Amino acid sequence: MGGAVTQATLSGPRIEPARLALWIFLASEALLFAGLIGGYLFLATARGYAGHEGALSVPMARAATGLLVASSVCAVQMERAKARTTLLRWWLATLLLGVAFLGLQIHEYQVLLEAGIAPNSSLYWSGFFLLTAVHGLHVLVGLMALFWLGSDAVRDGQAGLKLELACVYWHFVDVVWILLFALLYLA
Amino acid sequence: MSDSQAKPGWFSSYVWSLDHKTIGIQFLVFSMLMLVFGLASSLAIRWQLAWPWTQMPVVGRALFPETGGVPTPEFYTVLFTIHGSVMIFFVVIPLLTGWLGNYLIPLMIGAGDMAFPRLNALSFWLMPPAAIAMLAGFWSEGGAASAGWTAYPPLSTSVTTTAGGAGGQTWWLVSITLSGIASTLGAINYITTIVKLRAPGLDWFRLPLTVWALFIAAILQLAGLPVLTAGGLMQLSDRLFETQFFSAQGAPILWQHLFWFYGHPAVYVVILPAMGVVSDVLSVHARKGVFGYRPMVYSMLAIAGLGFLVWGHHMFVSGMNPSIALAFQISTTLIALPAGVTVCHGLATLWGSRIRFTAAMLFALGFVALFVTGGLSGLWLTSTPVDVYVHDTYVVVGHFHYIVFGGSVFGLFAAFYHWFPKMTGRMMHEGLGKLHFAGTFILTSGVFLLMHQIGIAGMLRRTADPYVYESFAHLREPNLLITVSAILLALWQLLFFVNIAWSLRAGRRVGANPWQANSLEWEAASPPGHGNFSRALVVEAGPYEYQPSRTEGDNRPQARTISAP
Repeated sequence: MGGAVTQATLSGPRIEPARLALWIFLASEALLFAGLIGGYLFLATARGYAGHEGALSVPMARAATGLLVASSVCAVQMERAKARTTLLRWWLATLLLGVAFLGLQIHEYQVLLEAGIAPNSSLYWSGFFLLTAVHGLHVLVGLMALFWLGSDAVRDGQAGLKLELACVYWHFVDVVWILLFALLYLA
Repeated sequence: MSDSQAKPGWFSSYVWSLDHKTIGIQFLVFSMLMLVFGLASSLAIRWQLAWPWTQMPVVGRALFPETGGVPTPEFYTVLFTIHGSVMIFFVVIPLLTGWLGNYLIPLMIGAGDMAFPRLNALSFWLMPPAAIAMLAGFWSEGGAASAGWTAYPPLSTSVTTTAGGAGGQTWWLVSITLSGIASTLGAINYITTIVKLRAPGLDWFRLPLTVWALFIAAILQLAGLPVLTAGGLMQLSDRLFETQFFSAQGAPILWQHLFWFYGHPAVYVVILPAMGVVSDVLSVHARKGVFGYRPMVYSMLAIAGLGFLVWGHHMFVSGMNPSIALAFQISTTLIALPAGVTVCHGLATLWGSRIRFTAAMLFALGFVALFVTGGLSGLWLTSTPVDVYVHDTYVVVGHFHYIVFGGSVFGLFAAFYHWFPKMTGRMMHEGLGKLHFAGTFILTSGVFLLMHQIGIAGMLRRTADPYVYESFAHLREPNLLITVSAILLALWQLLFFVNIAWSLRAGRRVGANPWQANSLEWEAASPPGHGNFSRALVVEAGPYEYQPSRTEGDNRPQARTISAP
């Protein structure tokens, strides 16, 4: 940051600029998903979804949900870790569970495509594939951030602000998935 | 540049720079370059409407060798699409948020730079790829996007309905998404900077109205753009993966909802910063504090808030339930209240003041006049029965351009004349500036006023040759006048560019505060060095403390004068 102004001299509230910026960013991310989910629900009322029942494996999606929630829990443990080895352990657990979630998603896409189900199969599948793909992209970005900032933290021996913010993002991605799980698999 | 040890090279100073002032000026130069495309396409539209199916001057033979320079109907659809998209996404929005936001926010709040200089540079450097994607459409199969800047499906989603549907529309969507990401990053930076980096003593209600306006515009961008992006992703996947969101199995109208949920607030993104600038320019050049500071802040907030509840007024003829149309009509009419406050605030500021008729002041006064004109036709358009009759006619085109040209662009000119001395350390030529204003002001109404009349006569927008219809044949004469005015208006802007070129070399050199203004940017040198301020600032007053009764020493700078630490 350029300039001679320091934290103590400023008029603003006592929140780190990066933390404030992240929450603003998450607000805009929430609105992106609000737009997509709103569109999905609009089409549900305007047109209705039919013919997709039974093609999705709910137990598999439930397992995927478990993996992502577990990953979030591990991320919290990682932030709280006092020693480097504990940090390293929880960091690896967070990453592995996240990668496993993505693996399950890709597996699910494969199963569907092999069954002849594609984004153009019906209105429902259009929504399903777009929503899960955009969410999957967020998981990928989250994993990359956790990998990059987590490796810095492991080197330093403790989690700093940047890793903490990456974890907040990770929880956000998790919450969005829980919504999508309810919407796409259970509704 | 007192604190810099080694002088950085040309490339890192002007191209790969992290300094908010350089990035602001990069936005300015970038938008001026894009203006060439936006302006050329508008002149080509006007050419066709005045002299349909004749050889287009200058570019005709190069563009249409097979017809001897005569434009094709397909190309006309490209023209209005590119004109709208380029002007909105690559000229007015980057100028009002990118240029003004980056250049002014840190200076006006007394900060050394933005909160995140790297993010700032990234938000600019996403713009050239976005612009290239927009223009890449011209080289794709079928030509550039031609479904209009609103990109309604099924025109935009089918590959066969428009010529540009083959490939150009996909590039258009890529372009809009990239520029949306750029604006979002910028908005995050502006908000964080204003919340966090205000100088000591600079309370929220001591902020200049320009900063308030930029802050509110950033919130609008942040809340609106993701929804446009969501719609853009759906349209993109409809085109690339044959999903069915906007197809006959889905709901084409869903796009209209998503588009206008952003599209209407976007109008306030381009008008609010201009309003803020005009408030500041009026106050400085009238030597009087603004009238109704807090009502103005609350009104801008109200305009922004209501702005998200009115998108349906773009869709009155879409077959919506009349009771929903009534709700949108009421929410839209409500905006007239805060908008009226902003105009009264401008006029009352002038009451009892000592006006200095500078070029900046003239453009600010022009803004107030033209914004009232455009605003009144807007009020009339909110009425559903009226809108149903004039929908998609030139009434809407005229109304819109009074706001965006007479409003936003006049605000930009006022900003340019007002802050040029800060950016360059030199004054602009006042005589040329006044001449520039006089012609621009008259010709603006020459171009856009008659559009209301031909619209009421029924002339539809986006029609390449309205005169094939017998009932519109008599409208060629007013169209001729509009086109001649438009050509003159474009040529008149040469005065502005001549003025810039002359002033950069020979303009009178000025000190830190040539206008005897109060806000913090005038504490910095002109142009400000890296880090902006050479002394620590302590703010102990609002920006609008002027005494119109005195001729000398009638202003009170916001920052307390203390010796350098």
